[in-house]
Amino acid sequence: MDDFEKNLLQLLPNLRRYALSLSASVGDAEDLLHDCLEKAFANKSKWRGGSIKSWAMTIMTNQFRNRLRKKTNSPPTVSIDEVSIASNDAVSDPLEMDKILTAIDQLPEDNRAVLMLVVLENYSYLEISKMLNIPMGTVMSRLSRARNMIAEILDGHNIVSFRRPS
Amino acid sequence: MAITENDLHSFVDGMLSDERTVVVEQWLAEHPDDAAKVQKWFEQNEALQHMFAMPEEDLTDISYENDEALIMAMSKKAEQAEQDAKPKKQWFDWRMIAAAFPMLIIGGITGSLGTLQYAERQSDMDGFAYVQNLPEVSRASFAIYSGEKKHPVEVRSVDDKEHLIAWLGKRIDKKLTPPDLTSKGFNLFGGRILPLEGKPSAMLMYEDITGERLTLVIGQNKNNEDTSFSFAQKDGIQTFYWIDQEFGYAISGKMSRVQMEAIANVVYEQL
Repeated sequence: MDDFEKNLLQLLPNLRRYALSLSASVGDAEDLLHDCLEKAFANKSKWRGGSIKSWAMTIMTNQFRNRLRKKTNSPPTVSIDEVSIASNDAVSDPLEMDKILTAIDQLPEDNRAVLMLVVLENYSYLEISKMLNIPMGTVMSRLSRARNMIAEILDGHNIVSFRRPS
Repeated sequence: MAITENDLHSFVDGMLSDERTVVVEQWLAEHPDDAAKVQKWFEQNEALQHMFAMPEEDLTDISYENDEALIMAMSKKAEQAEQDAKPKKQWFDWRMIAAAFPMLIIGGITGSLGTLQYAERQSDMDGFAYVQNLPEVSRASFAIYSGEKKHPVEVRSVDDKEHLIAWLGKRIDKKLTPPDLTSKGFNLFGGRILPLEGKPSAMLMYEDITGERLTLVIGQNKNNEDTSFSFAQKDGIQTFYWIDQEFGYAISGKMSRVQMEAIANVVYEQL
């Protein structure tokens, strides 16, 4: 196993988590992860030994955007069963989790990606600006839109519960 | 000093200096609306971090034992794709050529007749537009070639950049200087000739270090009239295009409209 492969192996939990945070189901997340790895290996020669994490996260963000554009405009679906596999049950109230998942699934993909890079991966706004090749102002406006949209949805607007009857 | 919304986000994400944090805390103490908003953002962060906490093997049904196998499988797949993309060596078998010789003669005769018929039809086809408009050619060529592994371009920049520029420039009758998009993270990858309204146009392909590609099509038409920037989107491909004197330019890619517009501006400034 060479350095590139070792680095990616070490990064795999982060990539998997980021894929889960962008996807509506575990299946979608695994597909996204595979697409990302495939693209990373196909472009292995372009990696110049810098931060492989930022590089791979950028690839995943691009793949995420491209995959969504290919999809038809079907409404987002969330499987609670699948999500309970994806998460580590730290959020104990399933209804609360359901609402949050519903909210993030309604975010425009670019806003969702910025939010997850900030909140889950702890990237600075400047790092995200460089990774996604967008101005800082755009990073801030995407973050702001994402947070305000989630707050609005959680406050009771547009909630569609996907919770299954027990 | 007034506190902006960006300050509030930075506060929630722990990205403020100690001094600025104190200032924001004072502001929040005096502004309950902002304090309530910030509280919600904190709760969102906490919820997301809990929900997407790094999975632990014993808490999930997903097996992470196979991660190494996954990496090796992906690596092998990429190696195989690279092998497949390499041009195969051509082996000439003179016996096959000898066997084909009579057929070549027959084919030559029928081919000549065909050429005569074609020449007659050709006069009718002058001016025929393969594709009627610049953004559609740009979008279609991006869709066809940007994902192509073996032959995305006819001439790769890395092989012979000078030849690429001279060749494309000659075909479109323009002294071509490919725009430098390194400020946007893209390097010239190569180019090819495309038909546009019955004439040759140049397609330049750029690529960033993640393998994301975009294309720039430059076509010529002496009857063109200047236009401002226009934008088209179809099948997830964004295209910015404009006409400047007798040349039309179109950039296509799968990035956001904001990114594409920024790149289009860089191209416009350089051409």
